[in-house]
Amino acid sequence: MSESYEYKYGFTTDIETEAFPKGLSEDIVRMISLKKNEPEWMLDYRLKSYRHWLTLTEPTWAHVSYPKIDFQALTYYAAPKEKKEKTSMDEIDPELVKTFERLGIPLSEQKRISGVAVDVVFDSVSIATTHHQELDEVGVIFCSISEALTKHPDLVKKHLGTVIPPSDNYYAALNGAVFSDGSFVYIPKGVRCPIDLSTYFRINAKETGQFERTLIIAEEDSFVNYLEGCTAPQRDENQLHAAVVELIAMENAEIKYSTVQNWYTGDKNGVGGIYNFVTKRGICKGKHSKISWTQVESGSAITWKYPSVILLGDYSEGAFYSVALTHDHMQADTGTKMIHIGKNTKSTIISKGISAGHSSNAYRGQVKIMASAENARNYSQCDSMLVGDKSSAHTFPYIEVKNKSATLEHEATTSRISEDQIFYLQSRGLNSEKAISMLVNGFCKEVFKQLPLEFSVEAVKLIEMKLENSVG
Amino acid sequence: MSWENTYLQFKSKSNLDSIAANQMRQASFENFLSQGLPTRKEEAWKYTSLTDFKAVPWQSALLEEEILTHDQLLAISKNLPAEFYNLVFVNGSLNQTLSDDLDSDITLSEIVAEDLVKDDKHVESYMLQLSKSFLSKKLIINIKSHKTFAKPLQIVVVQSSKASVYVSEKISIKVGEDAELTLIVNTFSFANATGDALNMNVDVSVANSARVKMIQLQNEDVQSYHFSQCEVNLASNAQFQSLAMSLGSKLTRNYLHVNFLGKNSFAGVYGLTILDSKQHVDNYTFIQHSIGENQSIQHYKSILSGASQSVFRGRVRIEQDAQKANSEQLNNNLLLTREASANSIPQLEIYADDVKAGHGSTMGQLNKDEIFYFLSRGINQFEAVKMLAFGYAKELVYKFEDQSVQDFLMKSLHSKLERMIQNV
Amino acid sequence: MLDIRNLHAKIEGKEILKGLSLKVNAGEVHAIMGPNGSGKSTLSKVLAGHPAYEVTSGEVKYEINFTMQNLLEFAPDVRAKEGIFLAFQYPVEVPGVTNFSFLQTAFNSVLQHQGSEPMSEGEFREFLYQKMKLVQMKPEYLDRAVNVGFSGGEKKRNEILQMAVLSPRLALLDETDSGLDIDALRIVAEGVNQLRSKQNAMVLVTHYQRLLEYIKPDFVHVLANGKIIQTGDASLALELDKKGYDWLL
Repeated sequence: MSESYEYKYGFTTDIETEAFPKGLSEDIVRMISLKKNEPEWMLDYRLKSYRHWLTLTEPTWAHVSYPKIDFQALTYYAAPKEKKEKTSMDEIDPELVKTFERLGIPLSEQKRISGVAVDVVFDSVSIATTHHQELDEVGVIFCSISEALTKHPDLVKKHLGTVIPPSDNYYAALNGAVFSDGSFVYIPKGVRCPIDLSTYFRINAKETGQFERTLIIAEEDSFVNYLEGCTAPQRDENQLHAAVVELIAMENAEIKYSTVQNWYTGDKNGVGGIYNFVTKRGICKGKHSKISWTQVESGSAITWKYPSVILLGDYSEGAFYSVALTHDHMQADTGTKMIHIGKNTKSTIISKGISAGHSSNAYRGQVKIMASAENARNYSQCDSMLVGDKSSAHTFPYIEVKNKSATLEHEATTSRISEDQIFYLQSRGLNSEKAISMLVNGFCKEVFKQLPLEFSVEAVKLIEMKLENSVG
Repeated sequence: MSWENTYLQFKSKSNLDSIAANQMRQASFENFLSQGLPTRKEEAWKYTSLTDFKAVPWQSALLEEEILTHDQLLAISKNLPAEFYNLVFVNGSLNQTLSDDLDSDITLSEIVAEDLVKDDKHVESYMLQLSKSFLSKKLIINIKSHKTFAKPLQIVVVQSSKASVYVSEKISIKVGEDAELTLIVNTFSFANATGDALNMNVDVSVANSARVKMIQLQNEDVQSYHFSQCEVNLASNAQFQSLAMSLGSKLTRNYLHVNFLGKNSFAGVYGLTILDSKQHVDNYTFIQHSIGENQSIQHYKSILSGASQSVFRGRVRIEQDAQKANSEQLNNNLLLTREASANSIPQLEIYADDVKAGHGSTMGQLNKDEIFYFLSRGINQFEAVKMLAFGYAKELVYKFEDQSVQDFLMKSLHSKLERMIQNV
Repeated sequence: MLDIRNLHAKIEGKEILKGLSLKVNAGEVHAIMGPNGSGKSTLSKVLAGHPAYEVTSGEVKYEINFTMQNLLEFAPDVRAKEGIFLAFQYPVEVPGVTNFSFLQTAFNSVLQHQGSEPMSEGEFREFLYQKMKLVQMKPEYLDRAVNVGFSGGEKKRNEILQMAVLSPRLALLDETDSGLDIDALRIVAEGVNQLRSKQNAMVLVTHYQRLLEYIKPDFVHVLANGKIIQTGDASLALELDKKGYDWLL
């Protein structure tokens, strides 16, 4: 691994931060709720989640290992101190504006990215959401979940926790108790969201856990393209990111959710980095609804993440497209669940794992065809590529079929880039780095083409850069 | 009756054995009691429940030595082709009348201290400890170097009781350098109200350049329970081929571990599961490439009717030093009825980079176009399904070239399909 | 022997045949031509009883035991046993089942239906060898899985072999000429011609006139939009070849 490699998002923002004392208790949960002026039911929800969390033990089934997390040593709320009420984007703390500019996310109205509305989350709070006017015109709600709790409490109350209840798993329960911010999206009936929506997550504060919560509701005949990006400064200690994302698609609605995850991975010896323990799930509630998850997982010290789809509506479709790159001492255990309940439901899984260095990369997936799911179809393809002989690749698919009319095909391969392939490309004038990145891009092509263009270009560059450093 | 009582019964009947054997059993039984039986919370037992098995008041086999009826003797002898060398065990004891004479390669021997399982991390530890607690002897097959065992060796394990007999069996197989053996382990039982249980433990050691073919033909009565744990170690240039043909029993759990310890060896691991009514078969295979430059192929197929259920968990592990390993795995499931269900968990764990590994898994019903093609040629639905199912299954029987072995397996395959498809 | 009246049929909710009528007598050869999507293949599949097609109205009478009976009541295998044969446009590949056992089972099913004794394996093999010469197929094809790994031409020859073995009273040839080179086409056509007789009838579904140069039809029908819109003799096919279908539509 060359020393020249630098995580270009590893800088720290020097800003005055207001943070709660370390540790987790009912009092901390109450403080978070109070801080955010939440309605009573929200506090109840948090307390129930917290009490449930206390009864659970950390899951150990994933193919990852890490020292025990001391949940009392974490800070559960940190936010930049606000000087006064801001009335427009231009009044955001210039330090923050500078930070996001360095990250490639201009916040000011003049410079903002056209065609994409952005919600930026810094540590525990949402800083800004752009393109309000354009979205208001068509009735699309895109704001932080805190804002949604005050402005649209009924919508939040109706849907929050319906796809991922706090009882779902250890981290979902923890998130239910202490989530601080995240995005809320509501696409009304018949609306095709005119611009892409995007949330950018940044962890800055030390020893802070980020517990974001995202909820997207697409009513009948609506469509939304949602993008998510994330980075964190380079720090020696591990940071915890335990997000919960819920998607709800009604009849004929379609939600496309794309992530480029580039949290700090830790250094070349495996010191530091983000623990990315995320629960993401969507439900295709109505007939002919569609949900797709596309992810490029290139960061974090440990990734534990299974974006899933419950296919409840007849003729609904779920998809999961994933590229997971691990290098150095990274560990990833990621995949999906496709639960077929409705008739004529269809799911597609394309997973590409690339392991380099001393890393470990596992695909874990489940396809379940319930007895009610007449004529369900699934196609899964899980390919692994090993770069170097110290890394490992694993595949753990679970296929459960309870209806004979189901058609399932699952394929997996493990391979490495062959010397012959590199030689062939070299003999046509490419250097070995270029040859490798070309082959890797070819390997990941089916996933990259699912991403919106700018994201796709970004993802290709990201993978290339990381691999160049891993292959050396 | 609790396992403690079953064990006491067994002990009182097996006091002829040495102290060492008794100690081994005692230690195994204590391990078994402390662990209990696995529940579905165990990852390795996620799809297989032992609740029904637990509820049966098992009797120790040695307690009552059943006398076989004329019909039963006839049924057994039908399973003893002249082309095979046959050994018949009834309720855990060798039946001299039905068996061919033991020759110098085959011995029945006492259990020794080394037979104790110490590894409680082993996924099959539960069943292994139980199996070893009730062993009275083991069958040792030792084929000397450069020798080809003359005929396919068939070990017939029969259970015949009025109700609920539990039997453990152990077979230890050593095939010397450049030696060759074809082995058929044929297990069946005669119907009784509550079924019997068989728990088999098989070790196979294949020396350099040796060739071993092993078939587990499992055809017990549909009330019965069948457990087997099989450990196979392969040296260099060895050839190993196995077929788990599961037709009988209410519940079957087969564990097969193949470990490559030398180079240039090949393992072809096959399975054919054909089920009806409420039968349940769980095949857990673990192919471990500890050393490189070896090739493994796995192919498991199931045909499921009634409300039957199959589980295939195929685990392939390629260790860091096992460069140039080559591993393929395929699992196909054919569902013929609404209530049938299948679970497939192909797992790849790969720690070396210069390897070729892949797996595939399919689930589905018979192709409608194929059936229509048959109908349009005047072949009725029943015949069409039977022909298609037979065509689907026989591929794996053909992996065994010996004609007498093929004919023997085809007969079992035919009779099961014939019986089964009538009810589809 | 076949009388179709005002037949309507649909697949996956879409109506393809919209009031088709056609009469076929013993000894006749009918060619059905028409543009893509006109319903040509649907007709032959409906007659053979493909489960994906649903007849919504109209009737199909077919002569069984010297009386005209409602064909649509019979299961596909019974239709086959009563002498209806469909040569598939895309013959199905059946892995695991050998051509020999497929043919033998089919042949004996038909024999048994007629009240005859099944033929022994040896006898049937001899019988098959004779039939195979007709379509120039080598004996080794018998031990291969049905149509698996067969070229397009071999598949079509295999269909004609099946037809020769089952000797149907009414043969429906669905685009049997498609995908064949000129040599294969000649072999297939010769095979078909040798099976023509006064007792049986044939319906050739085809897109091109080419096949009709080798198998001379008594009638040519043009099928468009689910109905027969024109009927003529062999010369109609030539005319269609020159002028296309547009002038009729």
